[in-house]
Amino acid sequence: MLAIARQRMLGQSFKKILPAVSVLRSYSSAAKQITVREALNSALDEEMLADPKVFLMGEEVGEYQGAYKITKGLLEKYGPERVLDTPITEAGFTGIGVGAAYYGLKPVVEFMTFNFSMQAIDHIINSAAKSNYMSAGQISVPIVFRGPNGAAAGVGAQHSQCYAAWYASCPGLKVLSPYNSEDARGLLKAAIRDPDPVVFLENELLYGESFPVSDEVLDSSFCLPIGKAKIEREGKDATITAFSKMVGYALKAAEMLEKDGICAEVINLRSIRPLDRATINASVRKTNRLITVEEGFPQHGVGAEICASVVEESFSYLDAPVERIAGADVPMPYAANLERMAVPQVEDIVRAAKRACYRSVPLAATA
Amino acid sequence: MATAFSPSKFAAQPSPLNTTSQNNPLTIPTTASPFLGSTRKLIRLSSSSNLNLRRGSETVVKENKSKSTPNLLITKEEGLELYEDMVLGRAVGTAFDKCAQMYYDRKMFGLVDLYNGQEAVSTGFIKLLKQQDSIVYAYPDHVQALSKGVPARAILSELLRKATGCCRGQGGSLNIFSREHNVLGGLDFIWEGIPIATGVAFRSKYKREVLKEADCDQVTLAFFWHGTCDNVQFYECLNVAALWKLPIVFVVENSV
Repeated sequence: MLAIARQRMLGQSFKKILPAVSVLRSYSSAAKQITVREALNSALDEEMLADPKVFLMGEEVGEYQGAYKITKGLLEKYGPERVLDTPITEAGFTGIGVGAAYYGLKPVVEFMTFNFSMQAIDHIINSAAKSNYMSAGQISVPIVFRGPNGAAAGVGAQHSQCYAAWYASCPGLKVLSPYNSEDARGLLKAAIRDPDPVVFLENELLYGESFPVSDEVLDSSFCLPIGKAKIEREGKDATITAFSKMVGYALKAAEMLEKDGICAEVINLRSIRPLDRATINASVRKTNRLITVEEGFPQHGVGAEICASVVEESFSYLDAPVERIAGADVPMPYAANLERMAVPQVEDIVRAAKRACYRSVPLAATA
Repeated sequence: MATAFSPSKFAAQPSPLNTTSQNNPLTIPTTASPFLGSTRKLIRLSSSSNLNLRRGSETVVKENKSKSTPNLLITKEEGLELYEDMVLGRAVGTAFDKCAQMYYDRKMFGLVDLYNGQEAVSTGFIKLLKQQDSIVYAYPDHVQALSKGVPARAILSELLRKATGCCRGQGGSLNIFSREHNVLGGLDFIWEGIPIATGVAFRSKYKREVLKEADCDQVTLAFFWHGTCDNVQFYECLNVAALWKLPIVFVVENSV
């Protein structure tokens, strides 16, 4: 209850800041550029400095500087008591993190990829997510599980699954998925400060990408509200929802659609659970068409939930069936050409948007 | 409260449990419990002779030739408190058992597990703990919670799905939690409590070494059945506990 009140307060205070951020971002030539990796590293650094109860745990987070160098430099700065290299025991160290969090410490547990979190899923769901409810609020679990999620490049079926839908279906968890550096910084800080267990789904291919950030974002008190989506691009003809890497694809698709006279609105979900149904529904009521984009498997996915939400709340506003773009319903293939076919591409999003607008060929005379 | 079980005695050296009037200079008030974490009061009886308990093939009395090793006899007061605790555990179990009858008569549903015959294990361990120490276990869990100090009424209400239960009816017979008494479940999976207990022990170490609370000496106990020793998480946590030197006791209960 307190967590929700706190988030509402944060949300209200940051409603004033976010428009300022977007104004600043329009002057991107003057803004600083940082990679998602630097954003995550700085967020961890600042939160560990601010609160001595925050500590890191995971495989290779310390001496190796992090499997993907997200935790670079933190062992030297905070010592082995706060940056713990664990043995290869996901179930064990996840449970240990949950036990430590039961008592008010704030662990940030890194999974080398979220595929490995399946070894520990019992602790994430049964110990972390459900304990607050089962104990009738006596025990809270302020833990963060973070790591790369979804498809990378050529890593095969067992290293490429997207877990957003799995974790987002579980009450008691919060599930966040950042896209750019601003998201990475703001959402990770919010996750660490949150009193509930948070699953933080990053993307390996985005770690090295640079994005412009304003001074507001670089401030150590910067924080984004959990449960609030962001409209990355305003439009009026169709709504495209996406999260993580697919936001970049959706933005590219929107540029291509612009040339064909379709002005698409792109929503960066940021928060998969709680889902920002209000923003999505408001957008659909404006544009009347919806395309959901995700990398994960189609059945019971995030797009399915968004579609159900829109059908429940804004059915009479829909002018076309909801288009759902998802990964192919196969384990991820290894060959590069097959992998490309198994993950949504920009062309797939463009095609779906045109289908939703009932245009399969470009109009002879565009308005 | 003045007791024979002051923590400093344990920290310095293994202290004898034997506190007969001949060799114990401390006077025990008539109403204080000889146990650290106990919230119960015991009326002292006149006799101060040692009580020699035999449990099955085990014996509490050990033949010690050396003075430095502890004498494991317990006094009558301690024995009575232990017995009272075990009887209470059995009584709650029996009451719950009656509810189990209702279960079979379809008046109550859900999971029913009993701890009959094993009470001595949990009583023996938990009575040595302080309020700040923690216990984690799988199930059955009501007896351990009772020994730690959770009121019997709260536990039975929880088992009977009442809002007055210790978890407002939201946890149930397999998920008994009490923040106040540091009882951390009650968990459905027999191995689940082992890493959690290891994490709680990690927190004690973290408090002392990183947060610099030098007086933090909280210990954690993880209770689990012997069958759990086949599970990978047991070995993972043994490894980590030894590696990071954590203040934890792993209690393997023979639950045959």
